[in-house]
Amino acid sequence: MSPGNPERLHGTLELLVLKLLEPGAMNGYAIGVRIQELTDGAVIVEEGSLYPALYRMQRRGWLKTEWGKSENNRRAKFYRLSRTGKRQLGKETAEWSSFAAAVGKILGSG
Amino acid sequence: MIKRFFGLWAAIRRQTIQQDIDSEFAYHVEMRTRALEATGMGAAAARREAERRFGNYGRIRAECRAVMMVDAERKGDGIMAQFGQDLQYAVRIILKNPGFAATVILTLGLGIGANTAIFSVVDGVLLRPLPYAGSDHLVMVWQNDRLRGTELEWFSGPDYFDVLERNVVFEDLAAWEFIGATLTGADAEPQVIRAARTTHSLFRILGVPPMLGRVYDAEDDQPGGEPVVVLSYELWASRFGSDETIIGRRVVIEGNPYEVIGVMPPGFAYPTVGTQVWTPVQMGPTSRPRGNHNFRVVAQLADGVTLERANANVTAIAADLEEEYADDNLGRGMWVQGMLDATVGAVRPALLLLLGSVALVLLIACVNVASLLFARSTVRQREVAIRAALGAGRDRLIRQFLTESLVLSLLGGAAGLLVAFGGVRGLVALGPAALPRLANVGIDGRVLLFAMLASLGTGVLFGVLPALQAARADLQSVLKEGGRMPAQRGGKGVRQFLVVTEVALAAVLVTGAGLLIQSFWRLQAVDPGFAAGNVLVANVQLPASRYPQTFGSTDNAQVLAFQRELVERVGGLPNVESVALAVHHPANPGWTSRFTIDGRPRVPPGEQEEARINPVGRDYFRTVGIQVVRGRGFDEGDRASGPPVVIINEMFARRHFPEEDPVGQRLSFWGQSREIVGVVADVKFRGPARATRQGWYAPMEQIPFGAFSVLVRTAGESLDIAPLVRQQVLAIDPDLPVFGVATLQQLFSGFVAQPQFNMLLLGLFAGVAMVLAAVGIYGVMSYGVNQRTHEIGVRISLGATAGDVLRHVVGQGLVLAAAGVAIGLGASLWLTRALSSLLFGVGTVHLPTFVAVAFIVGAVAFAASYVPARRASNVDPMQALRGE
Repeated sequence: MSPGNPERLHGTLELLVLKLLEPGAMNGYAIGVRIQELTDGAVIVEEGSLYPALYRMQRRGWLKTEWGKSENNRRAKFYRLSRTGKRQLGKETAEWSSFAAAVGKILGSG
Repeated sequence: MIKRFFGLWAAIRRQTIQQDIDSEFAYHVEMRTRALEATGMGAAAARREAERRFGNYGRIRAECRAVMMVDAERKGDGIMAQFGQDLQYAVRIILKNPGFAATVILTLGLGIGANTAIFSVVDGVLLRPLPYAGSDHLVMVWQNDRLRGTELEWFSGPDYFDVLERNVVFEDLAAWEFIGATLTGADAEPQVIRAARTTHSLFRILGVPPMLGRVYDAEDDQPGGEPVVVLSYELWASRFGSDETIIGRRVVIEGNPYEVIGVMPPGFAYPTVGTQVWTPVQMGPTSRPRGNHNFRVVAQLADGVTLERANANVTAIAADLEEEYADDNLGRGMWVQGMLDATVGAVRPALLLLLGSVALVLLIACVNVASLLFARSTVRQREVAIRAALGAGRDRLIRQFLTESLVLSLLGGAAGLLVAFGGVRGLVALGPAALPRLANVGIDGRVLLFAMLASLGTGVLFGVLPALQAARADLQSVLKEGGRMPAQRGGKGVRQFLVVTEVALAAVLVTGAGLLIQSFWRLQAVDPGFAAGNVLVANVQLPASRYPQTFGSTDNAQVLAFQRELVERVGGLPNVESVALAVHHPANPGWTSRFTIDGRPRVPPGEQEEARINPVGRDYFRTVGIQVVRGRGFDEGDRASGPPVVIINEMFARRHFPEEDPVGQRLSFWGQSREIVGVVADVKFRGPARATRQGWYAPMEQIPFGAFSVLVRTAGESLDIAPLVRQQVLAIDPDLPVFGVATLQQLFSGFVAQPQFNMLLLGLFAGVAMVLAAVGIYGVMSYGVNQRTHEIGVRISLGATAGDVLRHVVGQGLVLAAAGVAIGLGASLWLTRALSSLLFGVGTVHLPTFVAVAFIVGAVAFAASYVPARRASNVDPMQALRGE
């Protein structure tokens, strides 16, 4: 599971999570709901499969976690971008853009 | 980051990761269920749908857990990052279990610190080379006296020159004598100084150059040479304000001017600590009589000459001299002693004993650390197995445990350093001034390193043990039984062996300390033969230049006049009960002299006995509290002009007049016959441990000396009167110093200072050993209780009461202690024989001490196992049976 993981799906999911957390902390459920809304369920098949990705990102130091109260006053775990996470977001965004541009070029010129 | 490691540790210890994952997932499912319900779905259906959408709960959970528990190495970080992680992990683990950490740190701190402190003192006094160039070639040359059986006899001047001339084994030879001397000066109080009169070769042999100016050479050191003097750095600094222009100036010693030619560097104080000036002896081969033995001789062995060869050579020279000068040298041999031996020979047994103690305590500390870490390693086997199963490599595990051990060990080392510095300071402050070279002692780096390496090595070795075992660890068997640790049979044996060893070692030390304490008590209780309370001693020395003294003559008018006036003046001071003069006060052994008893067959000169002699003033016996047991004490009639009289001690009377009344008999010495007028009680001249010697007293007026002690018995605290006594002396003669002011009690307790120091040191060792042993017993017992929580729970649920459990656990502790004490006392029987030369009035096999040791060690063992036993008796059987 190195950062340069070629698995597109995972890479996309991670980038999405980073992007979603950029404005502020969210809990796991909320992240899942947002991603499904944004992608029409294209990225996440099982809702639970979001969590291993979150835990991996936490282990890599991109995310920080803390237990807090959710909007309906329940105890929930919140995820927040760490400084490394922010850097990673910048890096992956740039990579993704150049990748997308390259793909666009190929597809557009085809 | 800490959180991450916290999570990892908690997974192993408390499964918090598992709980976190579960509650996070539960939150997710619940939120989804509510969202579905909001769309109008029934509660049960919404719940099912939420769970379906979540996916394979078990697989996802396992994946998440694996992610959280897998070692950080998967990230491919560098060694430094790993080290950082290890460090954080180690700190966290240490903080998690502060009791264990404190125990290890305390053990290491005491083991390293106490040992380094005491070892440094021993090393500084005994082991370190003397601070002189080529000191391993330095030897003392002594004479001995076969007729009197004495070994440490001094040389006469001519004997010294003969050895200088005839020997083939010495590179160089020097002689020296001490002179009492008074330094006077216009601008300061007169001061008694310690002066050595030496041959010029002394400085050459010691190889120490002067700091300022020069030392004297052969030209200065000739009969009739100019009076010159070399000052010690300390005298130069204190008396002359470190004035560099002192060179070439004159100082007045004993009323005579001496030119200062040099100043020695700081710390140079040969022959003894406190030597302040050196002057050339200026003697020729025949300028001193061969019968006067004033000189001590130090020599430098020629290259390749052994002590044996040197001994053979001087023995041969002595034999020749005996033949050539039979009158003076009959029975006098010569021998050579290594310098180190000569300097510290007397205290060697005590120091070697301490060295043995150091080894024992260090051993205990190591055993303790080993036993603690060993107990812990079995606890952590499960953690290791899990981490290994999750993919942590063996190298990685070893590195991590190593880090943890190092952190613990370094903390212990730091504690040890603190204890060591405090300890050395304390010991130097407590040590008797008489302990040679104590002043030079500082923390010894090598010693510290040694103690650190021994303790830390043990710590690291046993700390890494769990990781080393990991290779063989079988995850299945470790994780079986619902997570309860299987007790290790082999491990239990090892731990018990370690505890028994520890207790045995402690028992040996406590026994040694007990014997020394016994011995010290007895020493304190010895009746010295006089009443030392409230007696002030002050010394005065009348310089021969102003108070002419003719040896053996009673016509020393000025000396007598001074002494009479002083007694009169001091006697008139308030609170003074009586005052007396004496050439030697009761704690001063003084000198001995030969004698004959009138009317007995003549004894050849070489076989005559000697007895202590002390010329004393009129009220001496009353002032000092020596009982007159027969006849009378000295009185007004015993003046210079009166009939010559003498008073003997009981030892003398028993030895020479066992059947008859000594009073009225006569004995002769120094060419005069004296009538024995009384017998007085014996006095322990040389301290309570020494045998009484035969001796006698003569009236001071009949044998006047310019150097004497003033003894004043006062109604209150005698030291209070010291300034007044000093005033009276200065009132008679403003150029006279009063020195060595002390109470008789202080002087006498000086003799017990060394035994007291020995006792203190061994007592400290014993204390440290006991603490360490207690820690060891406690550690092993409480580990055992933890291990057996399940079994104890079963016992309690089957009807065992708290008292049963308490008795059972304490009983186990006491069995271990009893085995240790038995072995320890057995070893003591043999080991304390090394103590015999240090004991007074106590055999090395002393039953009450042994009983006391068994009791003390037993009590400590009881206390150390009681705490864990209490915990065991409070075990809740339900909880214990449910598992960890």
